[in-house]
Amino acid sequence: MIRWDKRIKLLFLLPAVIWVLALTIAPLFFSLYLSFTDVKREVVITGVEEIPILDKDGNPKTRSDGSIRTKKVKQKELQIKYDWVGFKKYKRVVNDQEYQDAAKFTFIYVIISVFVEIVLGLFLAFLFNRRIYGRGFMRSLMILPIFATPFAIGFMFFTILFEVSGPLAWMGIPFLSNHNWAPFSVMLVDIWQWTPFCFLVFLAALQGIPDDLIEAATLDTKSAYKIWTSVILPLLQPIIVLVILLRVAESAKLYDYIASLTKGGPGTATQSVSFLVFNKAFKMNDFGYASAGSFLMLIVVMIFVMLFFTRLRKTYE
Amino acid sequence: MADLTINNVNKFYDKTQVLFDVNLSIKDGEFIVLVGPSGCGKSTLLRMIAGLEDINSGEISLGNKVINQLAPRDRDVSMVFQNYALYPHLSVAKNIGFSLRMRKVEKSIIDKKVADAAEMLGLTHLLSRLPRNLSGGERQRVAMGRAIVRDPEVFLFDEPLSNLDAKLRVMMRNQIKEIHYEVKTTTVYVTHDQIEAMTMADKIVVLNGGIVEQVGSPDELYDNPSNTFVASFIGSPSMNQIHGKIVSEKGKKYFQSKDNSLFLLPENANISEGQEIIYGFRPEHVDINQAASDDAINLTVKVDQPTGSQSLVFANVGDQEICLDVPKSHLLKPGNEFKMSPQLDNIHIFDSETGKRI
Repeated sequence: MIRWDKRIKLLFLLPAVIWVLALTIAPLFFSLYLSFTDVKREVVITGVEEIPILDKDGNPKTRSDGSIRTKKVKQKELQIKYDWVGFKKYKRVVNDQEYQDAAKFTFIYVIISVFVEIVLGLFLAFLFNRRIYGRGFMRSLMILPIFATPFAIGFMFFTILFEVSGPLAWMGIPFLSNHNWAPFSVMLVDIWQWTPFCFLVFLAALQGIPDDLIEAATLDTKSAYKIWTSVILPLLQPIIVLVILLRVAESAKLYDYIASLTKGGPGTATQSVSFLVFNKAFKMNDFGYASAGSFLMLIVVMIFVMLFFTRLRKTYE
Repeated sequence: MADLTINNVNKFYDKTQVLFDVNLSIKDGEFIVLVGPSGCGKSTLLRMIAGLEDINSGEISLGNKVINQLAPRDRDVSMVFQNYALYPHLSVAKNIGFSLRMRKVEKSIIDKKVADAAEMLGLTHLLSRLPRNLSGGERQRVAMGRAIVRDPEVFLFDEPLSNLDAKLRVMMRNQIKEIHYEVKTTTVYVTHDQIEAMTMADKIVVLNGGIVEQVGSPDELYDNPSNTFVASFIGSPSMNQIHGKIVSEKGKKYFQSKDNSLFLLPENANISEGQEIIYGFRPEHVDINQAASDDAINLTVKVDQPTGSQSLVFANVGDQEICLDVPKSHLLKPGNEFKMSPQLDNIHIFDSETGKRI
C-alpha cells in the first residue's frame, strides 16, 4: 500500500485551490474593495521627452548647424486611481431610482417566473408520471430547451414576438414595446426555458415515491386531490424547496434574455439588476457603483438561500 | 361483520393468466393464510380483494355485496404492506390516524382510537416519532395500528413479517394472533413461509401457479395433503417422496423403489399391483433400528444435522435422498448403517402421473 505523504496530497490539491482563489475568491474580494472606492481613470503627464523630428525617408532632420532637430513630447500615462469613499457608493445605489426600479423588476420577475415554473413543472410531471404512449420521446423533446443558450433564446423570442411582422403580430399585443407587456415577455422566455428543468426533477422525484405509499392512501380516500395534498406533495417538499433554491439563485442573475430581447427597454422597464450593473461598469466606467449594486444583490440572495437551506436541512434531518 | 366470498376469479396480466378460477369462502372472523411459492398469485389475489388490481372475471363479495367495482376506499378493508408503506413525513400518531382523518372523523374520536391502538401494540411512547426513527419491528406495529384503527371488515396482510429477523418474526407472529383473538376481524394473510402459515392460520390456502391446490386447516394439510405439491410444501423438513411401483411378495403388497428396496404399505391402501406411485412419509414418522418393523430397510448415514434434541439424518434410497428426523439418542453419524421403516399410519400414497393422493 502506498503511504501518501500529507504534503504530496496538498500539492495535488494546489491547482484546484489556485484556480478557485484566482478566479473566484480574489475577484470577489477585489470587487468588495471596489465597492468602497471611487475608481477614476486619469491621464497623468509623467514627463517630457525630446525626440528627433524625422523626414520623409525616416532620417532625422538636421539644422543648418548640423545638430538634429528635436521636438518636445509630453509623456502621458493612463492611471487608475482607487479613492476610498467608504459607504458613499452604497448610499448612492440605495437611493438611486434606477437601481430601485431594477431591483423591483428583478424581484417580481423571480417570484412570478419561478412560481409558474414550479407549478407548471409539477403539473407536467403529474401528467407524465403514468404509462402513456411515446412517453420517452415526449420527455426527450420536452427537455430540449434546457440545452439552448439563453442569449440565443432571447433572439429567438425577439423574432417570435416581433410586433411588426412576427408570427404573433396578428394578436396586436405590444410584447416588447409596452412597459407593462415587456416584463411578461421576458418572464415567458424564462418559463419556456426552465419549466422543463423543474418538470424533469419533479418527474424523477415522483417516480421515486414507492407505489405502496400511494396504494395505502387509495385504501383511505378516493380523491386524487387529497392523495396529492396529504401524501405526494409533502413527500416532494424537499425537492420542491431545492428546485426553488436553484431557480431563484439562477434567475436572479437575469442578464442574457434582457441583453438579446429588450436591452432593458422600453425605457428601463425590463432592466434587471445584473443588466444595470453591467452597463454601469462597462459602459459608464462606474465600477464602485456597479460593485456596490452587485454586493447588495448578493446579500439579498444569500439571505434567501440561507433561509431555504435551514428549511431544507430541517426536513432532511 | 360479513363473510368474504371469492367466486371463479381469473386474473390476466396482458395475455398471461396468473389466477385460474379461484374459489374461496372465508367465514366471518376467520384467519386465512394464502401460502405458496413466489409468483403463485397469492399477493395478486390479496390485492384484488383490496381493490388495487382489477378482476378480469369472477366475483368477490363481502357479505351480500359484490365489491368488484367498488373503489378500494369503499370496500371496508385495511391492508398491511410488506414494506409497511408508512408515510415518512408523518409521526406515528398521524400515520395511525391517517385513514380516520381522510374519512373526516372527529378529532377527539381519532385521538382516542389512536391511543387505544397504540396501547394495544405497545406504541404509546413512540407516538410522536417519525417512521425513520423506528426499528423494523416498531414500523411493523405502526403499520398494524394503521389497519386496526379503522376497524374494518377484513384485514389484509401482504407478507408483513418478511423484512424482520427470525426472532422478531416469532414475536410478531404471536402479537398478530393475539390481536386477532382480541378484535376477531376476518383476516387474509399472505406469506411464502409455510411455518408462518401453519402457526397462524385457521385455514390455509395453498396456491401454486395461480391454482388453489388445497384449502384446509393446518392439521388437515399436514395429515392429508391432497397432492405431492402440498405434501412437499407443508411441513419442514418436507415430506420424503420416493418414486416406484407396487409389487406383490409372499401374498403381501409392497412398494418397490427404483433400487428394489421394499417398503411396507398400509393394508387398506386402494392400489393394485404394478401401479406406479409416489410413496411419501414425513421425516418424523419413521422407526429406527430396534423399533423398526421386520420389513425395515438398511440405510447408511450420509450427513447428520443435529437440531438439539433431534437430529436430521440424510441417507440415500437408490439415487433419491431422504431425510429422517430421529432422536439424537440413536447416535447416527455419517457412515453408520441403520434400519428404518416408515410408520404405517402415516404413509401417503400419490399417483405418480397426476401427483394426486390415492
